[in-house]
Amino acid sequence: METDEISLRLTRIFRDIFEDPGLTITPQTSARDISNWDSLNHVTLIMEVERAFGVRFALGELQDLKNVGALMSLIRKRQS
Amino acid sequence: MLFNSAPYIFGFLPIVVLVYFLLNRQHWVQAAKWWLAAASIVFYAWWNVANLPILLVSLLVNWAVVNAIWRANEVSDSAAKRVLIIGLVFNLLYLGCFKYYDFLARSMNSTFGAALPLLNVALPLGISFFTLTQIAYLVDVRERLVKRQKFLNYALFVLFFPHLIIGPILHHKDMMPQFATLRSKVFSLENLATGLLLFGIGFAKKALIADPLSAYVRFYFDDTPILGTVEAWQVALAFTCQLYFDFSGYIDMALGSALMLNIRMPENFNSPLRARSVIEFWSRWHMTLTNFLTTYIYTPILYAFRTLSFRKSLIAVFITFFIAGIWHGAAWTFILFGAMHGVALTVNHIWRRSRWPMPAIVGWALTFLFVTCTFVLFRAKSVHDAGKVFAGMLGLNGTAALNRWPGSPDLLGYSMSHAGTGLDMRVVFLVGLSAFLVFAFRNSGELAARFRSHLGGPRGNG
Repeated sequence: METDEISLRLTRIFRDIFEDPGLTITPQTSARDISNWDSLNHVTLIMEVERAFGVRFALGELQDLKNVGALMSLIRKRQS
Repeated sequence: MLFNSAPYIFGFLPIVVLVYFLLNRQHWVQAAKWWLAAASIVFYAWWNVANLPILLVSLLVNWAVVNAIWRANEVSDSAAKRVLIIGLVFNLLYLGCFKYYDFLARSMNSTFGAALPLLNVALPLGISFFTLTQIAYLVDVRERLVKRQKFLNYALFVLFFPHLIIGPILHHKDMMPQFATLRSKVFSLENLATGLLLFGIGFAKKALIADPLSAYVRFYFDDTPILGTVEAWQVALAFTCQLYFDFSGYIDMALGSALMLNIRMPENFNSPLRARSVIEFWSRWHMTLTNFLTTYIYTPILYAFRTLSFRKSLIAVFITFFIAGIWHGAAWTFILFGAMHGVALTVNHIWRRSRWPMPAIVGWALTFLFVTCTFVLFRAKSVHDAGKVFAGMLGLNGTAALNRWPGSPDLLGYSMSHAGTGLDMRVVFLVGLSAFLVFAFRNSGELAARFRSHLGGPRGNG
């Protein structure tokens, strides 16, 4: 999947989960930038990403996925 | 061995650091690793040699399981899963046997009139910590996050003395690479200096604040039948300060010790008493535990639900903290401690989601009061004793002093105890000093980072 495609789909998921229709994300966006991105929502986000992209993450990876860039590169890695 | 004891400070630590770097200087890297592992075993056995086999059995069994999972991973996922489950069951039974069996037997005996025999073994030092560390490792091995390792690397990761007894709870991905890089083998004056600073801060926290408060706290919690209002609030606040300065001081000493060996362990506290919500509190207090709970308990519970909803998340939060309470200790007080935090976190999440307002100062006050009350449960030897302190705090027994502090009655000939209410000026001073340090100063992690930048070094490791 192309980077743009991943980014587009991720944006949709982020807007949905963090209940912010105007939300834009870049690879630099992290949990610190989005006030609703707490540990509760993080797992929701991860499960939604897993479902949407048909990938699986390991438990030990989840804490490292609290920024968009890391999330995108792991999605790419898992899809290849 | 305790970090704040003379044999550790003047004997163990300097010798370990010196020999470690001398061996590395000769390029005897493997010998240096064995040296650290052996030193860690001495460190552990110093207190009570009888505990050593318990640690080593856990280490060796888990190493066997780790290898079995690596092999099973090459066969099939389900085979690996089976081995993992065996490993988890072993760890939980092992911990349960030493930590919870007597509590369960006693509860069964008193509730159902059963006559289960008690083991009466003292809790082996650090077992709660090295069990968690290894559980996380097993899970990650099964999920193929860990490359095949030599035994020595695994043993050193588990045994490394700075974290062995009281944490921080280490994750292999933070530690293993550090033990492996050559850069960490070269003595660094900057790390030694920063390590000494952290160690000194930790030592001062413990020796100047936590330890002086402990005798006072012990008397009012353990040796009194009933407390007046002032006495109860005083001892509750004193214990909050004692616990924070004791625990975070100990962690500072652990981080400092590790840094002298060029190993950077994760921060465990980030000014938790400044937190303005219970959610924020747990992101600042015992952070490595919170990370473990989130990753290896909360998330699997949610995965087990299959579909997600806000309500299910809250249930998972509650279960997670209920388990965390049990992990803290085998007693009803700890179970209540966990349950109360579980409830508070769900309330906090509902409040946040509802976007109801919460002025910062009110949020802080509520959080601090709540935490102080739950720490009463944390400290009390029984629910009854906790009830005694709560009754006093609620003013059920009047404001007058109901006990006489048996410690030294005065300092420099000046009577420190305020007649009537039991207000003790030494405790007021120490609690006031604690508040001053917590709110007016940078915390130890920030101080260490600043110190390092003044040394002109890079912020990275080494």
